[in-house]
Amino acid sequence: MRTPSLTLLLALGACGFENLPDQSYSGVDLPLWDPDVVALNDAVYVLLPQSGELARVHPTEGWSLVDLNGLTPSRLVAAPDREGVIVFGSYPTCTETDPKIQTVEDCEDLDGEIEVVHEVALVRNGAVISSAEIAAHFNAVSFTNDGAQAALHLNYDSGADIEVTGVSDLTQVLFMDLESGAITPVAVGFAADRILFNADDSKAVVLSRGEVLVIELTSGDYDIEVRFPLSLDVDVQVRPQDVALTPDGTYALVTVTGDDSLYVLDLEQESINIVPLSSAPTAMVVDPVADRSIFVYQNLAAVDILEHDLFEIETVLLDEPMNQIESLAGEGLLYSTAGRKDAYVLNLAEADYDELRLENPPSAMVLSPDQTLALAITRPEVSGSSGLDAWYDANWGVEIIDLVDRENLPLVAESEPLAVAFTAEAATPTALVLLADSTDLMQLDLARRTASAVELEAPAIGLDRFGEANFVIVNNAPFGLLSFLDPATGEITSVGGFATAGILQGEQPLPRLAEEE
Amino acid sequence: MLCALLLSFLHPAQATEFSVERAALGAADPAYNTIDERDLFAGWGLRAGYTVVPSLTVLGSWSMQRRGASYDAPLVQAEESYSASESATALLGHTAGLGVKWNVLENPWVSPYVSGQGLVQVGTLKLDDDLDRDDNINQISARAIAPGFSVAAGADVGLGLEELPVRPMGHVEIGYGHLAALDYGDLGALHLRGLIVRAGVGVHF
Repeated sequence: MRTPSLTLLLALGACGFENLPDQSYSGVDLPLWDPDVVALNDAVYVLLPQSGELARVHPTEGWSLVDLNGLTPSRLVAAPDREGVIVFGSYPTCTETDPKIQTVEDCEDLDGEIEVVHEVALVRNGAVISSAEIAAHFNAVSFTNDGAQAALHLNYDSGADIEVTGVSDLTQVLFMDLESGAITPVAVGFAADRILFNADDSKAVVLSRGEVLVIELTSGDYDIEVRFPLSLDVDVQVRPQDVALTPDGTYALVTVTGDDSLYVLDLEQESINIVPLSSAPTAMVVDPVADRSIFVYQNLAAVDILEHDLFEIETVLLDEPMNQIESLAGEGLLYSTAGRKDAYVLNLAEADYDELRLENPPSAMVLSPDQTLALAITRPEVSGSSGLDAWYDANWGVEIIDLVDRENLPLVAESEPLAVAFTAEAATPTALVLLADSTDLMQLDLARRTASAVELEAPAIGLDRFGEANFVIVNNAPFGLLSFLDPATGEITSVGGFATAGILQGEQPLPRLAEEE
Repeated sequence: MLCALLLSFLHPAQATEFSVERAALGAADPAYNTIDERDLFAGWGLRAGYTVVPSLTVLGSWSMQRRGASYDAPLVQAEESYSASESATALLGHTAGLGVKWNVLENPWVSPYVSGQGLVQVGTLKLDDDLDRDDNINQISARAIAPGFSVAAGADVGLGLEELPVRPMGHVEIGYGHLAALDYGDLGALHLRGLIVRAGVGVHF
């Protein structure tokens, strides 16, 4: 009896994780989960590419799968109010209707062909509110200011492959009511790729190749009110680069790729005014407080300020060219991601600025909720200096910019800052900084200029707001890991393992088979 | 058969057998590829038998299976690919069976038989995405239970030593085994079924 007893003891002792059997190799081609998570007010939603599922992750409820009725999600877009998420996806169907066909493999074995149906679904509180079949090429979403409607369209510049099934109508935009999920298609002209809404969401301004349309949204008929050709010569292709509406919604400002002309479209009088800028702009911002627009240029050390009554330009010369703008309610924060170390706080009414000199060139800028502080992520640069300056130049950093006192404080980071965010409590302004390959989340007390670390379960790769005042940290863990941080207490709740959903993947079912029959 | 079983309780046993066996069940389910590249869920176990009437033996068996794999899945964010830490998947199974064996021909050298067993399997799925850490939060364990059956044909192999009170014997059998789905909820399910092969050595007394 000695041998069986020993076997039994060995069996019982092998129940832990210390000595898991390893006789084989197993791998999959697709990631188990996509770290580009979507944080809504109710939970965080995560794509699971390998299993074709959508996980809902909550700090206290744990994780569960959202029933998408067989839809394999491929892209998530959060509604602006964070109350819902638009899910793009697809599911397979078989051309044969033999009752024996239950899976993709059955279909192929019985000489059927698999067809992929594309669909968009609206998910709220973990459940599908509505869904509708769409063409494969829709890949972009624009939202009304109140978040009540979404416009689905093709963004040719998104960089993703544009999938065409059969013959696709690239002229359509789909308007989706985010309350009911109802979808209305509207033909708007070839390749609409930018959609804006006026202040009261009564009109949509649609930019397509060479023309601009205005669609009324109040009647429910989505009638095209105005159609502007940007060029009267059909041989001349005018490619809009950026578009913005003036604060009163009367005018649309359109910049054109590689052109120093600004198209000012009067949406009420249906006329076009072309305003010459100092150069082809790289960024444009409309400031509603000063009722002015700002334009900056990649290779020109100047900023143009456009007033919205007579549309006259005032040019302010700078020391260095800037290519980025952050609006500061009556002011603009200008900076460059092209290796320049200057930053400017521009007063729009007085056309004057205060100049700041950063220690290293910025790669990103984040404003505090009350716009009194900014955090710049600065990157290493080639240094011709020595001593402390050379050391600064060689390192990543975070620079705290006081937008009230116009001063800045450089901090050196041990590795690349991946993301920064401000906490909501204005009384004790705090910023969170995620560092690459680090299990520490840095908390910067911006009043005292001190830093402390919160330890994470695994290195972080992303950061987003969650709920009113909390944050969700995306950790680098193969089976999925999210850490929910309450910045007031420093308490972290981690939820992991959601990416193992569907890890035991059998034959691929045809999910809508029963419905079709 | 019921009468035979009843008689067995009224009359003294004619033979008892005990053996250590290797048992393997087919696992062609694609989901099992997560655990093992091979399509077999194999392990070691024990088999005991009690001959209740000549040629008819009541069988009981238990076997333990431990299969696992290094698991690799890319974790991608934007255009960067993060190298994953070492992950593992494993399935630890305990399979119990109860049934009968009917020896078609009694022979001291080779005694062919047919057998049938009802099975119960308890399968524990274990997943771990960081083997270097004992306290990894993503150590996931899920348990499922599945009933099933097996039918097989085989032979008891002896050495012709029928006169000995304790005789060394071996057995080998092949057949079909079928377990209901091991359902792990959101993790998925395993359907273990197909060819079953058992071979063992032991004693008859």
